[in-house]
Amino acid sequence: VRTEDDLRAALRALERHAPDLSAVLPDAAPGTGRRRRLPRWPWLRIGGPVLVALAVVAAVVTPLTVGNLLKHDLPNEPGGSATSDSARSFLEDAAARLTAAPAPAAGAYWRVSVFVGNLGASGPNAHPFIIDERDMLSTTWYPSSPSAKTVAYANREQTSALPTPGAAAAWWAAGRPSLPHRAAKEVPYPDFGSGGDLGDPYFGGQKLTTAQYRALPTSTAELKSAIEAAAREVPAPLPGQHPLTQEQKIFNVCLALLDHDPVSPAVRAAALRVLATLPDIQLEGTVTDSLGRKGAAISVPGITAIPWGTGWGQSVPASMDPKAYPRLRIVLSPSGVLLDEEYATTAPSLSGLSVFPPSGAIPGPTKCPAGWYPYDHGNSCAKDGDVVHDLGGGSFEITGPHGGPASGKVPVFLNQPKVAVPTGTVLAYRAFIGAEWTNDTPSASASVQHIPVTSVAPGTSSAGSSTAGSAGTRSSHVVILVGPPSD
Amino acid sequence: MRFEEFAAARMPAVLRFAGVLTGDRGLAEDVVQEVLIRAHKRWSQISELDRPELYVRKMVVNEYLSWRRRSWRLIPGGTAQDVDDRLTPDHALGHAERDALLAELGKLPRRQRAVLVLRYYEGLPDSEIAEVLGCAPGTIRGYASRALAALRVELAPHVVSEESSK
Repeated sequence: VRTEDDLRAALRALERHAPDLSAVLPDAAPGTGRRRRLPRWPWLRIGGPVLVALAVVAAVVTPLTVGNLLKHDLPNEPGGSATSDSARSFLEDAAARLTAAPAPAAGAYWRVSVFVGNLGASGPNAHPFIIDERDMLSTTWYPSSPSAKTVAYANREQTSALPTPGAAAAWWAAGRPSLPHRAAKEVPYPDFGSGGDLGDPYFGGQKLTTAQYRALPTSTAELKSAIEAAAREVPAPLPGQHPLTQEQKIFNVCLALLDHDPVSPAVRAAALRVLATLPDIQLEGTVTDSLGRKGAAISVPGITAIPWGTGWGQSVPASMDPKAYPRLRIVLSPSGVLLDEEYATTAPSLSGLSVFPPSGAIPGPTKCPAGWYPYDHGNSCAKDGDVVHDLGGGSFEITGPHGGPASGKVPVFLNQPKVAVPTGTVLAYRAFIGAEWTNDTPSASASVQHIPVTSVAPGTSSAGSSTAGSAGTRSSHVVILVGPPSD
Repeated sequence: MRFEEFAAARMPAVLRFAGVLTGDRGLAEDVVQEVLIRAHKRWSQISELDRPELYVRKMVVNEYLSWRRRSWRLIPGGTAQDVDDRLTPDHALGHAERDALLAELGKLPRRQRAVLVLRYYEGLPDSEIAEVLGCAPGTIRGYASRALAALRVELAPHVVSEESSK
């Protein structure tokens, strides 16, 4: 029988997770070189103290027609070969198209709409399948005027999509269970000070105002110097993390400019040309992005997915092999518009990821054989000398000489079915719907409320699909968008 | 009280609270740092409050409840200092039950977990927990009883009688 005292004792045991004061002070003492920045991504910052006053608004506002915002529907473009030279020529061509287009006049607000999601496993353990947890659609309004505030409207309606024929087949086999769905909630944005503090965007280690963004140079050489200087300002990673290379920092600063910071097309074009100067830049070919648009995938080998960017000095933990991390690739339209930031697996089965061998689903709870220590109710087994890493969020990874007989040396995610995904699977994405100057007044109805998704009848394209639950290559025409549960 | 004085005097307790609340050192760091940055900006107002420490805890709870870390879940997060000592032979048997309890605690919805931490770690009465979470005391009791039932924790008689306080 468990008592309240047992609970008290167990909670006290969690004190070992208390961080050190020095790790959390906003500004460490000068000279320590430890200054962490806030995450750059708006969707990570939604909430805060305003949560208790959260205005729950039913989604009855008239949705803005997204047709004019979803400007990047592209014809199929032939893919290039994956060599540095073609990445350079692609980036140069895209930069030329960007500068050739007429520059839009600045307005009162720079309005950016972003859609984020990630893959997750769902369904019963016998028939697990992958869903695309389409998690948040947000529109942020960055003001031109230093006296105005940044405002954002986030629609946290969560829908789920089955991203592949294999996933659709597995979902069908599982008896078409309801997929996770969360009703739409409008979430207020954290307070930003006025005086030109835009909130999230970072330029390397610096925060710029709208005016400073406008003043960025448009010549490749000058912008590169500015980017290199900004990259040097990126704080050093925390102890126990791999150092960031200058190339990685430059890539991330360029990405910050391309991911719809309030800069002119000429600056964006210069950022593309700076990317083209990176020695290892490569063109992976034509891919379909998370919103079903075709674009060119560009990446630098070894540049890994640091979800918050490197702007605040975040890097890969030293205990992990950076090569085993998901890698970051960006999808660009032929005219140089950033469509998607994608975090893709680098191997079929990776320690520390919710990624499992391509053979298929791993059974759920297991009983550990004699001599093995059950961990987390037998979801995994370990022996003396193994090491359990608490990954947070109820997930654990076991490494060491033994691993677990059922799980192998893979992490165990409690109460989640396990699904195999092959190399190159996009685990998480941040897709850009549009960015433009506007003189509209910030409002929910003038923000993007929904995005169009191709919907097809389940089961039609799934027949004969072999790898149940596999993520495989994404293909927009088999996306099945599942709305609210019908119960 | 200046911010620096507050940080020096009160922060160790807040840090321990964040560690227990999140059960994850990295997340606790992120949450507390975000809160400190915000508290630092607004310190002149917060320091005027009766109990700035309680307010800072409230900020920590709210930050924890709203923290968006979905993609982080997909990224390896273990570091050497997080290595668990629970598998050494001496600890394994004695801590098995505690580990089981903690594992189940980790599966609770965040709001329920927060209620348990505030009640059983911080020792706050339900009325103050309600203030921290911004809801009615009755709602807190509902969260707590659901969470305790999920963890199969049996209530001592005096806690049951606390229901009469509504």
